[in-house]
Amino acid sequence: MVNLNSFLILSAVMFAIGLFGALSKRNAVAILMSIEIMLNAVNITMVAFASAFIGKSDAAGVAVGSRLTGQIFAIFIITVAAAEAAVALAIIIGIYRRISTVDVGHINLMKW
Amino acid sequence: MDIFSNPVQYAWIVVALPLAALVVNFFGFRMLDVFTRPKEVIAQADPHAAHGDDHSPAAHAEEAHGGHDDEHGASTGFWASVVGWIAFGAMLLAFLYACLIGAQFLGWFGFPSSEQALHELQSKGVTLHIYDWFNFGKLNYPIDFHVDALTVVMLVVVTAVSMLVHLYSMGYMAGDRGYSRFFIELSLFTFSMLLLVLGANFLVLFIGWELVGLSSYLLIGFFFSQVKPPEGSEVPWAPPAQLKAFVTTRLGDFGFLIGILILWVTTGTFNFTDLNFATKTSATGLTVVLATAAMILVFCGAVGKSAQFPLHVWLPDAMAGPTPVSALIHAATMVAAGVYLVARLFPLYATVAGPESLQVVGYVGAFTAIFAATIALTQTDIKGVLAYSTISQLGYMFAGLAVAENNSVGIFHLFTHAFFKALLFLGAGSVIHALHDNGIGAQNLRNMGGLARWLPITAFTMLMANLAISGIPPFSGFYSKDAILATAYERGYTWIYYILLFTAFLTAFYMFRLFFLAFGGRGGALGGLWGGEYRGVGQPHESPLVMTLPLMLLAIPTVIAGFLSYNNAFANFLTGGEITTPYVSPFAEPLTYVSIGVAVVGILLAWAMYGLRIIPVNAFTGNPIGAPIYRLLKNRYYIDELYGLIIKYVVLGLSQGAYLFDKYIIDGLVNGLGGFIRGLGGVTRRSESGLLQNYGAVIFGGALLLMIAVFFAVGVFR
Repeated sequence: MVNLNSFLILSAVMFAIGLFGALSKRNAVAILMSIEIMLNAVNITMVAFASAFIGKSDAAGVAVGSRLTGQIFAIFIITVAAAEAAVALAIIIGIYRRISTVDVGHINLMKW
Repeated sequence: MDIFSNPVQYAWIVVALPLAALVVNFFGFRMLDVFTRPKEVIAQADPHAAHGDDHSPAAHAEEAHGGHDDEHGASTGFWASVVGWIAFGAMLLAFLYACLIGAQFLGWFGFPSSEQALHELQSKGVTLHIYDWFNFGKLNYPIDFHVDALTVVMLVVVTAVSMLVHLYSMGYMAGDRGYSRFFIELSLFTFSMLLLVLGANFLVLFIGWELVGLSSYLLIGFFFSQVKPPEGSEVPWAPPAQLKAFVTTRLGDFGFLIGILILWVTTGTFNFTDLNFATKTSATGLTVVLATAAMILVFCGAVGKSAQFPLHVWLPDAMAGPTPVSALIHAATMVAAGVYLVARLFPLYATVAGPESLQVVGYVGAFTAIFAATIALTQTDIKGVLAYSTISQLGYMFAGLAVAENNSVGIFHLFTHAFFKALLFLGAGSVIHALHDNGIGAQNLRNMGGLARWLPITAFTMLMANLAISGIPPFSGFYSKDAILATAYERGYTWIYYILLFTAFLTAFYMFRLFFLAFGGRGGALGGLWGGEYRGVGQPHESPLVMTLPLMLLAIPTVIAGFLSYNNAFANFLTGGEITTPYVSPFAEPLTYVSIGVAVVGILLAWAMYGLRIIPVNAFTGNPIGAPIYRLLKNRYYIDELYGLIIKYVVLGLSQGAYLFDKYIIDGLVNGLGGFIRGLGGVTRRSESGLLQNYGAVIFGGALLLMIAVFFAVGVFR
């Protein structure tokens, strides 16, 4: 039985995997990928809620899922994530050219 | 003009004149003097030629003077003499105005409008409100002047002596680089002293009191860069002497301040008139015990300022100042401040406080009188003898205040003593001036002798003053000293009487010892009284007229001031005509002849020992009993050494303890707290790694914890 909970659990698992990756990886590209996973987990939640509530009303009779709010937000996030990935990859390449590594442990120029 | 028709109402002019001279000179003419005088030639100070003598005229400017910055130039600069003349002119005007006030008090020149007004003035005086310093609700701090008979006496004495000292200093300090500074400091001193005697409450008096202390500090240390005199020299050294004077009087001021505060807390007023007369009747918190304690504490201030035992040690060292300063500050006026204080508060001492307070005053005074007189017997520094004689005479004044039923007896001695002691000091200055060829020994009596041949004016005026201080009629000192002795005997203070009588003998002896050693000697005329062999080097010379004129002017009151006691005139003036006892001439009392006889014996003994030389000089000191006593007296009872030991072991020991407490307990607490914080920081700084991932982990860990907490709170896991 595939219902809203299944999507939410999938989303939570993906978010946790992404979070773990973002916090534990040393490679800047891997961190970037982990962040993408977290963003996609959010997208799944958005779409899942949007499709689950479409055509429903709350107790007061106000329609809550009548518009494609969730889907549109997901598209926005995908767009932003693409732009972000482009910028972040450009930065990472720039850093690599400068210090020949993408290990975040060594990228400490701005410390102090 | 009102200023001349009712001068009492304008008494502030007397204070304002020296202040004006001070301001004009300090900000004006001294600047011109400093900028126009020739550049100073820094002389290499030769410690062996160190000049202990405080003065040396222009004639031997080439000599090394202990390298003080006021190296004597060729002559006094133009602007420097302007400073001197302005200061002297201000003092002359102040003196004349003080005399005018005195004339109004006496009812001369048809001054007061009526007999009634004159009596009112004489008995109550006038309080002048100058301005309100500050007011806080019920706390008022007015700057008030009070002019009554006592104030008038002090005003006349202070301005007269100060004026003559100014005149004298123009000759004595001539050519000194510090000439203008000297006159400015004299103006400051006179201003402070006049403020002190005019103050109507403790506040004004205390301002004057401390300013007097400051100016004496400045004047004693006038030669502040003087090189240390050689070991064994009796001449005091200026820089430590000025500190000693300041710190020693400060000890007394501590008690003084506490006494003032006790009086203020219990009665709520600083005003002398209220304290003296209102406290007798109105109910205040001032009990007899508290009043006695307060008055004894106030007397502590007087002990410091008037150099009474045990705080007398500063006055002999204060002779490091220039000699006119010694005359002004340490004979006639500043040391009189303590006597004035007790006289001003006399009703409080006599009626409000218990009899113990005046007994303390009397016995301290009598003890100091004989104590200082014995030391004066052996001193060989001419100014040292005079210094101890001053301490002794101040003791007389306190004893006179304590034994009498009003303050006139003590104040009369202060009045006469001011003139003859100023004369003695200025005469000593004239002698030192004459003997500059002796170098550091110019003040030593051993290097004098027979000076009357070269310094006839100085010698003659000094002889007048010596007769006065010894108590020979008809000189002024006889009347004032005899009044103290007679009062002490009549009022039953037998011990004080005998102590003071013996002191009178000692006084006559040491003063004439000084005279014979300085001016007379073997082979002189009149049995060694006038001239004799000279033991110094060089050719002594009489001082210029500008210096001998003050001597001659001071000789006049020295001779005749005693007649003011005729028919109780002085006492009547001072007490506003309250004296009811009939006047008895001192010559009608048999006891008077005892005191005269004692003085004459003292003089004859000195004459026999130092003039005629029929008794060998070491008659008393050459035997096994006399020698140790002589050593004891010569070393001033080792009081300075005793204080040195007390300071070394007690004061420094206590401060060492305090230092250790501060270092280990106070600093330990503060440093321990700081160290703890630093250690804590050392641990927690590890968390600040600078790695974003760590921060992120913490943030999300925190979020997780919060989430679990919220779940528990809303009961998800239940």
